[in-house]
Amino acid sequence: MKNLIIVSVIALSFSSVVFQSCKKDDTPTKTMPTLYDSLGGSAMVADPANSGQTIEKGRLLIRSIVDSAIFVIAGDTAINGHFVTLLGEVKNGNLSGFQRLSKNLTDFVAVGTGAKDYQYTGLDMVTTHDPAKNPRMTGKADNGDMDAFEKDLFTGAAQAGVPATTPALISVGKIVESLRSKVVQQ
Amino acid sequence: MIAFGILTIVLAIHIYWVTRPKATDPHKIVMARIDIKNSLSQQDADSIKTWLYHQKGVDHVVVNPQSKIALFTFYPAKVSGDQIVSKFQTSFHYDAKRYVPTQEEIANSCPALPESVTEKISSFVKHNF
Repeated sequence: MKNLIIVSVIALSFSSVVFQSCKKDDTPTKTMPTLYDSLGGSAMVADPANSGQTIEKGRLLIRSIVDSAIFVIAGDTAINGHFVTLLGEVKNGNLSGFQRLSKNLTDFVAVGTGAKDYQYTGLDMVTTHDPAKNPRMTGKADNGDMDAFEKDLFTGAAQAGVPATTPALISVGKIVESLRSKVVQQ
Repeated sequence: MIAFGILTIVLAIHIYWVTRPKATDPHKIVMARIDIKNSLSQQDADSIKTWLYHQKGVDHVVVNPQSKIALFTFYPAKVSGDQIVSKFQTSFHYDAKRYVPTQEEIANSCPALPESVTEKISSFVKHNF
């Protein structure tokens, strides 16, 4: 649930970039750097988790933060009940629950921050967090859930080597907070 | 009618063949959780963390002394989660057990992970053939 918050937040920042690009202007302008660029962008670097493979630098940082936040959330009794799917074992050669969530959230954040080479298809934030429309939501999220999620996100980022004072992380945090009214529906 | 029946059988065989159990991918990572009933100090948590990191096939470890939860990811191609938890129980003598969510709990968790159409079909075939 909280994961989707991050995704939406990033989608917001992404949309602002899209709108900028739609402005009619004949004069050539420099492309505005996206949040994804500030996170490392599309430069290819060695993937420490997959020997011999490369990964975009921006995606690598996002994945590191996401994975670290996942561990923090999974150990936080305030919200880990929403994420037991993380503990799902491997099914028929597919990814495990942990890997699926990591990939899903990394895609979401990467796309939301402006990555061009990944795709995320999911429900909008309001629908996702509405138990009447999403059977996986067994109850409405409250402000306490939202607070816990934000706290765990920053704790996870810090554990991944991204301190809370990092401008890009602060931008992500503001976007997440802006989604509170969509996530908390009670 | 017969043609439909044949097509159904062919489809079921195809889905089984595609989704049949295969050798575990060496890059596959699974997360496991140990719930501990005893109170834990930070020193205890650090000891558990160090111990888990020394186990074969363990990838990453986080121990939360406040919630008394130990989390670790591991490579199932190298070791099983139950093996690690069993060794943990023997080594530390805590009142601890591995938390494994039920299928119902998993189905109701995390709206970010909708079940794919392929998985739904696979699940249907497994439960009906």
